[in-house]
Parts: sequence; C-alpha cells; structure tokens
Amino acid sequence: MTAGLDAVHLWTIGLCGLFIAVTLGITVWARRSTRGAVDFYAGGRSFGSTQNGLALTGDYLSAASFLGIAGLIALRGYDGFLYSIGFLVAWLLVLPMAQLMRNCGRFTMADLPAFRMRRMRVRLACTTSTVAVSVVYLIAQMVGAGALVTMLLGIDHGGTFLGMTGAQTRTAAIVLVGVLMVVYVMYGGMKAATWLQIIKAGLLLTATALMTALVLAVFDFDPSALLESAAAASGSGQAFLEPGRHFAVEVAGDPVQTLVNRLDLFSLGMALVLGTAALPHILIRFYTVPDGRSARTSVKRTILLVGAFYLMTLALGFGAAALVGPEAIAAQDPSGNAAVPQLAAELGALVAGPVGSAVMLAFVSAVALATILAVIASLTLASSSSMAHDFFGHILMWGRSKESQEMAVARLSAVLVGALAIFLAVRAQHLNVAFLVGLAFAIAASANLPVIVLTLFWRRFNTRGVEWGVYGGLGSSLLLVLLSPVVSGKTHPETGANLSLLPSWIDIQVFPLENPGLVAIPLGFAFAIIGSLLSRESDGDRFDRMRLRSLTGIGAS
Amino acid sequence: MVDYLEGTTGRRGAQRGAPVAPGVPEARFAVLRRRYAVHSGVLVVLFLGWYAAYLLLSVFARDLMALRVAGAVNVGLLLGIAQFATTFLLAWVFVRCAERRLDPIADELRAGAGEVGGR
Repeated sequence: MTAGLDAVHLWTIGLCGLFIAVTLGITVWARRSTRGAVDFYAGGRSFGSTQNGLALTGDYLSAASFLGIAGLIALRGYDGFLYSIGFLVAWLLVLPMAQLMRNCGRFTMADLPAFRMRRMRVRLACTTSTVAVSVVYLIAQMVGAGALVTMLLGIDHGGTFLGMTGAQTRTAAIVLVGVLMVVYVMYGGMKAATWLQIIKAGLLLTATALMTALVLAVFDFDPSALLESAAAASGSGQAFLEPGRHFAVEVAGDPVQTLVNRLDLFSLGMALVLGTAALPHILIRFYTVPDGRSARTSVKRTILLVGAFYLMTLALGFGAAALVGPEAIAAQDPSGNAAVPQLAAELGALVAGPVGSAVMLAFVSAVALATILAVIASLTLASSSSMAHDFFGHILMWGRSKESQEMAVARLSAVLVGALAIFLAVRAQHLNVAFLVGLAFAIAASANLPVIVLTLFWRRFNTRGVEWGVYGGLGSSLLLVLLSPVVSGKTHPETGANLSLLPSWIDIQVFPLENPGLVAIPLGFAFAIIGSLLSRESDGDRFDRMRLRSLTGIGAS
Repeated sequence: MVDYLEGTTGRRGAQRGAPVAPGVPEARFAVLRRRYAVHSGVLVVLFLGWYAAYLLLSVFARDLMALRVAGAVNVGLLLGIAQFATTFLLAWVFVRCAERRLDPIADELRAGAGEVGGR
C-alpha cells in the first residue's frame, strides 16, 4: 500500500504541475496581449458565448459542488440532490437579467447603480459588498484546498510529508494556492482567468463524465440496480433514496425543532436560488462578451453544462455509496468531501488494478485542485477590479485616473486581497466548506440582489436606497449568522458534543436558523426600499435612458 | 474612463410620451418593455413556483415522494430529474421567444437611433 500511495503522490504532483505549467504559460501570453483596462478587467470583450458559457460553468462549479455535493449524496442519500437542484434552477433568474446587466455595465457591479445615481457613494457601497462576498467565498475555497491536499497526501490523521505535519502541510497548501492565484490575476487579468476557467471546466466535465460512465458500466447501465445497491450499502434501506435524512428532519415529540428544521431548508433554498444572480465573480463574466445577446446565449449554454454536471454528481454520489460504502467515506472525512477521490480510486482499481487506481485518483485529485485554483482566481479578480475601478478610480481619483494607474492598483489589490484571504483561511481551517459557501450565497442575495434588481426595474430607486440595501443586507446577514447555531449554542441531541464554532461556554445563539437567507434577503429588499423612500432624490430621465440601453444596447460599450 | 455617461447631468422632468432618445419612438419602446416584462415575469413565476412546490413536496409529502415507480426509482427522484428537464426547457423557450419577439424590436429601435448590429 505504501508503494501504491507513493505512485499516487507522484502522479498527482505531476498532473498538478502540468496544469500549473500550462496555466502559467497562458498567463504569460495573456500578460503580453493585455494592453488596457478593457483587456485587464473584461478580457478585451472578445470571448464567444460558448467560451463564456464554459467559463461561467468553470466559475460556478467550485470544489463545494464537485466534492461536497457528491459526498453529501454518498452519506445522506437523496437530500444531497436538493442542493444541486437549487444551484441549477438559480440560473433561470440569471437568464433574463444577463443581457440587461451586460448592456448597462462596463467592468464591475457598481457600474449599474452608478449609471443613474450619485457615483461615489454607490461605488463605495458596491465595493464593500463585492469584497465581503468574495472574501467569504475565497476562504471557503482555500480551506477546501488545504483539506484536500492533506487528505490526498494521507496525512490528515497523523504522519508527515517532507518533514511537515498535517497542520503545517495544510497551511503550506493554502499559502501556495493563494500565491498562485495572485500571480494569475496580477499578470494575466481577465484573459488569463477566463482561459483558466475554460480549461478547468473542460477537465471537470471530462472527469465527471468518465467516472459516471464507469459507475454505470459497473451496474450494467441499469440505474435501478445502482440505486438498489447504494440503498443496501447505506444501511438505512429505501429511506436513503427518499427526502428527509439531512434537511427538514422531523424530530419526534419536538414540533418547534421540526419547524425550525423545515424553515432552515427553505432558507437555504432561497439563498441558493437568489444568490447566484448576485455573485460578483459571475456578474463580471458578462462583460467579457461583445454584447447583451451573447451574454444571454452564454447563460443558456451554462444552464446545459451545469445541469449535465449536477445530473452526473447523482451517479457519483450513489456510486460512491454503493462501491466505497458510507463507513469508509465517513472514516476518511466525516463531511464526505473525500467520497469522489475514493470512488475514483475504486473505479480505477476495477478497470486496471493498482496502477489504474493510482492514475484515476491522481487525475481526479488534480482536477479538484484545478477547480479550486480557477474559482479563487476569479474571486480575486472580482474584488481587485472593484477596488481598482470603483474605489481607486472613481472615489479616490474622482474618475480622472489613467488606465495604467488603475491597472497598477488592480494588481496591488490582487496582492492585498490574496494576502487577506490567505491570512483568514489559515485561521479558519476548521470551518465547514459547505457552510461558508451557503453563507456567501446568503450575503450576495441579501446585499447585492436588491441593488441589482431595483436599479434595473424601479424608477424611484436612488442613492440612499443603494446604501441602505447594501449595508443593511450585509449587516443583517452577518449579524444573523453571528447569532445562529453555527456560531454558538448547538449541541448534539444525544451525545451533547459541541457542534458550533465557539467553545460551549459561550452561548449567544438567538436566531434558530443556520442559513440567514429567509430573513436577511427580505430585510435587504426592505432596507433598499425604505432608504429610497426616505430620500427625495429621483432621476426618471436617467432611469429611462438606462432602461433603453439595457433592453436595446443603444449606447452600450 | 471619463467617456462613460457619468459626469453628465440628467435632464430632469422629461415629458411623458416624449422620445427617450432621438429616433426612438416611445410607443415602440413601450411594446418592447411590456413584452420583456411579460416574458421574464412568466419565466420567473413558473420556475420559482415549480421549485417551491418541489421543496414543499419534499418536506410535507414524504409518503408520495417515497412511492416506488420502477425498480428502486421513486417519485422523489423522478420529480428531481423533472426539475432538471423543466430548467432546460424553460431556458430554451425563453431564449427562443426573446429572439423572435424581443430582438426584432430592439434591432428596429437601434436602427432608428443610428446604431448598427444587434446587442
């Protein structure tokens, strides 16, 4: 087994090295062909809608989707599926808005409200929420990268690698991933980030399709046999294939807890469906295509690719339950993040013995690392664009900055955001990845979505409305998380073990739900509307021009 | 950066019914706005309603979701797959309708405003 593990390490390091070498090559090329702000922020607006559809898919499918959802299905059965459905249908909200957002903006989310309101104040608000959402999402991805690396090296339960312990390797992995992402963004800008996403989406879809085909082949292409076998291996029989083992759990004799569990599922569903349209790194991707109609077409392509991917995770999750078994998965990682790599090793062994096992495990691990690397590069780009274009360019320099100055600041911001994310991720290594991603979606939906929707469709919306919406939505979602069972006061009903972040003697839990979406998103909209009504500022003429531009593209750049 | 529309002060209190931009008749633009509102409104209501119905069924109708249809495949799995199918279908229909009913008017308005090509 030791020899096999070594082969896996060599293959994994080799494949990851190949991916990094290719992407760094692209970064060097992108740096040479990046001449101005349009190239740096928006990749020259020259990508086609199929390319952008792939890039959006790459941006959207993070490690939480690839490892997390399949793992949840493998451990909890049907309920993992509820996540993937929420993540997919959310794109139907992006579809009608993509063209409008593309036509009205240039580089960042703040361009939308800045079109019709007091520029500096709305830009400051939008920069704040862009950086907040991106950093939370970044921490989630980097914590995932650290956990993945230690797990792949087999040193998460003791043991050393190159003389480093598990914790040190984890930290080293986070720092290495962070430095790489800063290099991609600093040198390559949006062109490098987009090609990184396209390559990664291709690799991810190939790996998933290959594993799905192998899983189905094991069961003679009979889905029912696969499900039957997964249910038998799970130890809970048919209940494994039915809803209710993870979300909205019914607690006998405790109607209040049952209600809370149900509301938590609706809260998560709401955050997933409404958050996607408001993620800053997804939004800026629409500026890489030449016009609004290409943005719309690229969303159509993305829906097909993302949908195909989530359908395949169903086969991966149930396949892992049937072939690896929930005990082995939970023994490696209690939250199930290791299910997909374990399934890959199992499938490889079935096809070509120990060598096949090593190659498959290495391939899937390299794809998972590529996935994380690509997503964090896009997140860093979204925040550094906003800091350079909105904060430096329009607030500090009053909109009179030179393009070269702005791009220098964008590169510097990438270093700052990268350093901040590395620091926070190293400190937050014990946080659950899926929780952080759900939190990022909830913050995006409560702080950004009201601003985007009301800017596009409400004549009376104004500067104070934007400020109240962003700060109110951001503040209430963060406050509700602080007061939620995730942070304190949650214990295991039977064993009494502490399940929260803080030690058990601190109990500030007031809010019962784990995901703040159900309350914070309506609050975000309410703040935005009340703020607008409290200010007399209103410019119907600018709104008319914005609406004309958003629907027809007249005057759009 | 300064070439962006920012920095110009808007003309306040424009007359209703007056053209929003030179060469763009308000009546035609109103048709485009209305059609866009109907198309996207129908899309959003349909998908949110259907998704909410699915979530509610998975919480309150667990006996129905557990009903076996063929082999190990139950109603819950089929409804989940149906969410995927309807998402693909709705996306395809929305884009097709937009290309047939919205884009021609947008092109007409763009031509009137002296801009070429589709956006």
